[in-house]
Amino acid sequence: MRSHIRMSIERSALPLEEDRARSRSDGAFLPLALAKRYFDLGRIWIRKAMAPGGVTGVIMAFVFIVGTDAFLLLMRYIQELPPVSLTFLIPVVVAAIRWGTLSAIITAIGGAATVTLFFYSPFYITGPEARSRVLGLIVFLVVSLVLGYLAARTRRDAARAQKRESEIRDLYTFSQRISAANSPAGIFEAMQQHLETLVGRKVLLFDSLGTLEAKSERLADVEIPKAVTEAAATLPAAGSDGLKDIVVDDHRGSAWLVRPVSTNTADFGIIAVDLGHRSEVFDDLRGRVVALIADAGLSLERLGLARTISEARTRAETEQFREALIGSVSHELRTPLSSILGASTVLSLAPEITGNTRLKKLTALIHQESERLNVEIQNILDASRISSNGLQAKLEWAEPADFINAALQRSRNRLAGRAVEVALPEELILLRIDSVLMERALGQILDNAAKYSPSESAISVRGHLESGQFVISVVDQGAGLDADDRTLLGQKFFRGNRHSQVTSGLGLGFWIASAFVAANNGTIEATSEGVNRGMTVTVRLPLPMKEDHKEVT
Amino acid sequence: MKDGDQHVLIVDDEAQIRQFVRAGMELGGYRVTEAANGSDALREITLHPIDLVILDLALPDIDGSELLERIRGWSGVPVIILSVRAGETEKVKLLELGADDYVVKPFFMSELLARAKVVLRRQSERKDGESALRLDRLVIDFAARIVELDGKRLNLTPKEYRLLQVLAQHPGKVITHQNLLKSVWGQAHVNNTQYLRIFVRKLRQKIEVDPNRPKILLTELGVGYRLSDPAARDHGRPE
Repeated sequence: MRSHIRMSIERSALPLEEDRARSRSDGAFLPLALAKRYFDLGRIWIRKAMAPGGVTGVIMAFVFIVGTDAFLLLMRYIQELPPVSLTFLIPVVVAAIRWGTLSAIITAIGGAATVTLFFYSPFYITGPEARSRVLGLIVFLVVSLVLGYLAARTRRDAARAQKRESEIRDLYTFSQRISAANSPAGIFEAMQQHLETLVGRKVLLFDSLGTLEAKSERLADVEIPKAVTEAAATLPAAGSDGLKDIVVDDHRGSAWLVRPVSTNTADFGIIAVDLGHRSEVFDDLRGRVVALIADAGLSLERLGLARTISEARTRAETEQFREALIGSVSHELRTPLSSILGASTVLSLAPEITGNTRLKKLTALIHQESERLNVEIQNILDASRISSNGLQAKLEWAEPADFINAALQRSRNRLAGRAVEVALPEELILLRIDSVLMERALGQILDNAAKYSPSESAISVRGHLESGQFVISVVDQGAGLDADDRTLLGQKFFRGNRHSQVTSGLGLGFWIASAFVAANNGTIEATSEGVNRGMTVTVRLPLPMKEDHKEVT
Repeated sequence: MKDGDQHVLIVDDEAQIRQFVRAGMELGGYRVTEAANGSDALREITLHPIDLVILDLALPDIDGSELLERIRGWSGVPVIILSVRAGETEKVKLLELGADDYVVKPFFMSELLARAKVVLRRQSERKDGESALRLDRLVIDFAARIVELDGKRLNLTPKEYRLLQVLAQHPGKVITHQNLLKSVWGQAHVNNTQYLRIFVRKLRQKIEVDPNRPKILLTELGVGYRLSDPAARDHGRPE
């Protein structure tokens, strides 16, 4: 209530124009129109002058007059009459500061009148003494009116400054909340709250389809006018070129501003603000609210949230689709593959085939290729697990020798026919790792080493301790890396141009290995002295603190 | 392939899988019965003297692990699990439920045959109640608590011996970390994997030629350890 009145003090200029325009337009009979116009002006001035004391100011003015007169009469009775006019200045100034211009004027005029009545004879205004008294009275009246006006204006300025400050503080909080909000919901809530503080009435948010966002608990007990709901529903339907604000009235005579949060897109939803009765402050308030919504809309756009919102929707759908796809890949592809691989291995055991070299080779081919297919399916599944952050390393105390052996074992078919040198430290080394993930990472590295080096060249796997880390290096004598490879290696689906025609694969290997090693808090690095000069992949895993496992006996 | 008339029950809802597993098992010299769902499987096990169950986890009527639990309720018949789910937690759970071994799909028939052989042999040995176990160069005499390598007596600490003994009670079978820790160190240390790592290392230093490339005491990553079974090696079983 208080803020509402404050607002009406300074917002009289605009309604004045409106009133003027209104009275001009329906002014059929001129004197009547003129009278109405001045009556309106007077009414507005009186309302302005009465603020903020209202009727209390008028009553207090009379109380002051009576009080001061009583005081002066008492003073005259005890023969100590102070300067009458000057004494009256005090209640005038107090009235001006506390209750506004009207109160001050009444006090001044009433004071002058009663002083004349009680202290000066109004019927004998002749003689030099009487003339100076009249002069003094006039000076008093002028001074008190000017003082009253000045005091009232100072008061008004102070109130205005205070109001502006609180508005700026609100706006600052609002902008802080907007910049801190990491979701559109946060921004909308901030906007809603700020508008409610500003207007002091209900603010409703509708989503982009015109249905009420039921997030706000405060809305539970609010009756939402039908006209507003309808307007909110029709607004986005008007299309992208018709996005503008409209004003509708509800059945209680309140006017609601219904506006899209952004005029460029309906994605941010619709906002409806209860602006109250159509009064003289209505248009100004509407202007401010529109400006604020536009600001919020702009910052939403600047943050790229329009895109984010629609992307979030798409992403959720994509994610669902991806999950379903992965599910069916692992089931629908793997099940027949299990049959093919299994059946081919049964065939390779059958005496009819083991006795026939040609058939034996063919069976081995089915066998090998289905195994390769299986590896690629596993890679796709791993890659999608990494992409969706579904990778969870189960870190346990483990010997690196165990996963190194397992990886060598799993890659034994690929490594067949090569000299594989393995050198590991004699002492027990315990790491906090997920052995299964590390085995897969090393398996990828070994597969790559085998894939990109001559089929009979040696591969070496060495492990050693180095400055608080366990370092595994896989060295091949293969194609090495060129400058392009060096920058691109490690990207998903990267395969060196030199190899894409010759070697099969999706180019996921190194990328998967990197992700798995990173999940074990390790690092991976590929170095090469140049094209066809071999490559060294180095994996570094942190050694846990010594005291962690020394207590066992 | 001389196991003769041993009877294998294949439980899988996929006809294609049953088909090739049947062919493979028959090639391996086993008699085969098929079941397409859990209730059929239960009926077969009750009605016929089944020697080995090959059980797929994904069944239309009963969840595979629940079926395993039910079977274990009254029967010690060896069970090998077939699963597309390759998670280590899953494997540990199945072993704890009483599975004798597991094979992850897709798999090689030779691998399944090798595991079947190991499991069945273990079963028959259990019936014999042997007091000594011979694994290649290693001989464990349970009665005398003596372990010999190439005829030479090994000096094992009580914990080392206990660890080897637990593994040797089921040669070829994966014993989970938790199980080993519980048997050797007690319930309180069931999560102290590092104890196990250190003692496995010590044991390997005594029984293996190269403790970095073990041939006897083998690691199942993320699951547990097992002693290699000589029977499995003939079929190119990964060692």
